[in-house]
Amino acid sequence: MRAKIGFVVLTNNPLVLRQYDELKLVPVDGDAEEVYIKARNLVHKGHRLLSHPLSGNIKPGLAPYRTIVLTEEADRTVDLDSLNYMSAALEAVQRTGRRAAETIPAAILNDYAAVDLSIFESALLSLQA
Amino acid sequence: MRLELGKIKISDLAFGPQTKVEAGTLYVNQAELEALILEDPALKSCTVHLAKPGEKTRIVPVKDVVEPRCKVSGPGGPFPGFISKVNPVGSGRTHVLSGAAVVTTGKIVGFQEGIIDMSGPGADYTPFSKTYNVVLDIEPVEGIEQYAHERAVRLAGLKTAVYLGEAGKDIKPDEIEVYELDPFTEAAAKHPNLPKVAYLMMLLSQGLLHDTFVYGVDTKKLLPTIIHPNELFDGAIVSGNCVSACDKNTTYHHLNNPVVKELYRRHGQDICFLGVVISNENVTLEDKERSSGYATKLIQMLGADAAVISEEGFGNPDADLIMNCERLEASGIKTVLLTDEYAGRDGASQSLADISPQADAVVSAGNANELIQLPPMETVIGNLAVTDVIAGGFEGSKAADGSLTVELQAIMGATNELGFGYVRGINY
Repeated sequence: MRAKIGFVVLTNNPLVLRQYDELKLVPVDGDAEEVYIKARNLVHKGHRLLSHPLSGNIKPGLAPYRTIVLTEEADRTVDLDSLNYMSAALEAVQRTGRRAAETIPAAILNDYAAVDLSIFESALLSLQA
Repeated sequence: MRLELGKIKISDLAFGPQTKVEAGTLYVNQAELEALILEDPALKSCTVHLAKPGEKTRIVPVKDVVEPRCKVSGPGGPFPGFISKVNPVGSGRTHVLSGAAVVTTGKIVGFQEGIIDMSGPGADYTPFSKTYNVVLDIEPVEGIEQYAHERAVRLAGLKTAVYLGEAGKDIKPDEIEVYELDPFTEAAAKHPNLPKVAYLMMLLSQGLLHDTFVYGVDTKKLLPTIIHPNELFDGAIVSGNCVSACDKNTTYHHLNNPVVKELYRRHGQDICFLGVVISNENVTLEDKERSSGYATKLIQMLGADAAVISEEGFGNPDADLIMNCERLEASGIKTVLLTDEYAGRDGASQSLADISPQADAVVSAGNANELIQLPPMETVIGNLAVTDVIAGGFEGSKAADGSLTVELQAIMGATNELGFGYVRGINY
């Protein structure tokens, strides 16, 4: 039988942090790029990506919130696919220009959080199936 | 399966006391249509506007575009799973108000997007500047959640397309297109010397504002499956996708899929068209692997020599696109990829978030990051304020005179990855 994979949730999204505190959350205090950098560092340590880092169709530099799911256990080797996806994602974030969260009105920030939450929940449904 | 598409050419649009088609003009009973839409308790207000080609009108933010259609004969009805029951569609006769479109607008989230300019430089980038548009400006009831809001606007668009489509039921079409495809075993036997080609159509499926539906089923819960190309013409695939205006497939695109039409056109000439496989673009990497493996297996079972793959969206779907390409090529099936590019404003950056040496035949629908200036318009339907935060806009993109500087990404269908547009990228 295929064992269930343990996972950690790296996020700076307040809605995910508030609604999923029963999961293994790794809160990130910073912008979306900070989440990508932390995810890449975990990949360097042997964690594998479970969700694609570029989830959603909002330009990565514009979306203030990001939630990325990785394996809880680190492997002894670095997963090259995960590393490639992270490099491409970071490159995309840095290329599309960034928008500081403090310049975005609160109602719109909440919409961004809701979309990121929804995308995370669709990953969660699949991971917990 | 045989479908006749009776095309009734619409060349003008006006309000009138009765919704009808007469001598190429679509008349719309505004009050009746607004009342129909407001039957949905999720909606507070709806104003119907008309927008014609050449007018100095900007529609923003556009959610979906739908073509009015009605079923004249044959099983099922338009948009099964939403408007009609879930009986299989794609045979018999369907009438189309060709040249007319239903456009839904209304702010679901604050960073929504999608511009249609009916004239000026922006009009050259969107096919929906050439259609006679019945625009629904919709406001939901207070406190509605984004999911319920998206659904209500989606349904309003479909309902209106059917309501208007019914006006064409008894009209003699200007032209009848016939689409008939044999079962794939028979098609292959009839054309033994032609390369057998399947179409792998990828659909965005990730959550709020990123969803697509097939017969009413949310495609993120779907294993890749075979669909008859004619089913698309009756609205079997519906868009719930409201982000990335340039390269999302609206319901109109699904109803008029140009890849399907071109494969039909060449069937029996230089290729043998086997059919369509639809696949999703989910969030987890395991889902992506499962779907690309499963889609590849289905295409192998069809006996294809080659496959055309169209992507929807950008970023993580690039991973699905490349997985599909690599797996098909590894099974000896040649691939051609349809995508668009996010190559930076100067076009110099890498175009896709994932690449492969196997992706050696790629059609580009253009660079979504290219900048364009849009002059002010006399009339704005919807809400111009959203252009400050839409995907292709950026801070300061709106000048005091109402002109906009945006990336092509903000324009509806500008770099559509089915090739339903006017932009392409070429190597030289």
